[in-house]
Amino acid sequence: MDSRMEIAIAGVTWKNPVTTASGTFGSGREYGEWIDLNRLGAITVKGVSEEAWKGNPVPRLAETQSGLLNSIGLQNAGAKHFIENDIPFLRQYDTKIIVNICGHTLSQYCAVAERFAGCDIDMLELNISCPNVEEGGLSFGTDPHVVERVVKAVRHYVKQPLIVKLSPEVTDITEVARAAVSGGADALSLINTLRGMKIDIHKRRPILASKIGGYSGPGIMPVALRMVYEVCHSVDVPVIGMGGISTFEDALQFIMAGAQAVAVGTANFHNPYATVEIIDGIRKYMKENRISSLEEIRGCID
Amino acid sequence: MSTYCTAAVINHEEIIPGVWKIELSAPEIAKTARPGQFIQLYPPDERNLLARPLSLSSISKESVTVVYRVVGQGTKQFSCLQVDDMVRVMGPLGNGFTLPDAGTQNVIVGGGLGIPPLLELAKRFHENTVVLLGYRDDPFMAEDFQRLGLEVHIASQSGNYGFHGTVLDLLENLTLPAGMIFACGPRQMLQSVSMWAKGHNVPIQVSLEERMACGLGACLGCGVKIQKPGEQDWRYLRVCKDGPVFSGEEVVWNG
Repeated sequence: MDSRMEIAIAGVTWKNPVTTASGTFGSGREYGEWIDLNRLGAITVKGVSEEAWKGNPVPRLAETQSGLLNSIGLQNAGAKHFIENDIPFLRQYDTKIIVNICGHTLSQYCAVAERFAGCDIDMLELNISCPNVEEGGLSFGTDPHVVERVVKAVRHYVKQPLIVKLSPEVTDITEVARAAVSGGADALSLINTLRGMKIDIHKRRPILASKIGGYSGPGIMPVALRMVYEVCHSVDVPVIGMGGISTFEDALQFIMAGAQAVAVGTANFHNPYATVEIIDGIRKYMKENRISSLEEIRGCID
Repeated sequence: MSTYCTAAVINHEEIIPGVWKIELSAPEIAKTARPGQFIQLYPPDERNLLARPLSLSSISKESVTVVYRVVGQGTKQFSCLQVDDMVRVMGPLGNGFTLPDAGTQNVIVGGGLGIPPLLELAKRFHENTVVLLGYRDDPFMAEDFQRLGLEVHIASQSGNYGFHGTVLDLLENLTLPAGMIFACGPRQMLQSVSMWAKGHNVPIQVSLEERMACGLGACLGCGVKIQKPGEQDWRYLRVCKDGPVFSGEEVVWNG
């Protein structure tokens, strides 16, 4: 393995800076039929709640130009099922495990965090930015004071390094970022989806059963990149950049904006090899440009 | 094993206005494909991110064929593909139909664009098979079933062709007791046929459709409410990975 690609986030070393965006990769099982999961720096799994969640009604998907709207609603089988089935599966691979947790209430967030405290996982990602659940999710992630309070409360139960995932649906992303760090975040990840909509003019109704969903894909990348850039310049914790990354060129832009690592999301849906192609592309770029460590280019944009 | 590859267009024709049949050179996909499985076909313009899930209508040694209706930007792009053009494709995906024991009296029930996905299945049956095809108006691909030497009955809602009515009427008129029903078509039709099957105590396999993103089971976009025997409540299963073929009795049709 090529040590030049190694990065560290909150004391956890990844073999390369590429992980998966929560909700786009399940727990890796399905993609394991397509790619070697050992290649990934880390696998960030789909959101896990304390109890099983059924998710939102269908249709849950709508395609837009250069993007995708989704309203899955964090369907998952609950923490017990995840701990019994998915952790043993993921531990077969030489990659870091990042568990994304979600809840409808503060006590549910704390309960699921506590559930994972004794588990063999590497990092925890706190989802306070999902637009597709009525309670919890986004409503916890837009007010800096609430963010700080929620992170502080959950932090108390967390035993692994804690990543807080931020929503772009705010006026000043740096304010929320600082609040999360002040609450105890060891790292930040951003951005989650933007809320969007699509209407079928023939049926005169929204495509999504939930009317509004989360917008992701290449269309949001400029917004994501700008926000990652701003956050990297305003906090001292490492940042995992995401939002529309589909190629290694996209990933390098986030690293140059200051991101320690990147996550590949929607691109997995239209190219199951996206993650490994991005890893290979970064390596090739480093070689061609005689870069011996990503530190040489990280945050090179003032 | 599924493959993600670039395939050449071998044949492409508009079989009735707005409905196209496309044959792709894809030996890797054809090698393992089974009736009832589907492929993900990618629109050539990459601004349309997602592939379109299309059930296989024919599988040959070197190629697979699907039939689609032009409904939006993606399918419109497909309709412009010429012979020898290359197109990205992933497959075969999904579970496919479970073939019955020999000697079972099979009833194949297809409605509209749900008819092509049943052709490859029909090819695997040589006898003991009745095919019921329902159309809104003019038929298409009926001759492909007739050519197999199977008993084919046709209904059209307009009365323009065959029996004036629906496939449900054809089912009611069946003279033989059905042993297993295989159905594909509009959701309303599948629900009616499943209700009929339940009432007559006949096992039924239905092939469902839903909007998909990944097509391989990860995104959970294509949920269908399923309640298996002995389960307290329904849950969303994935049309792409757990289906697209489900037992009609296990689908929660209302809601």
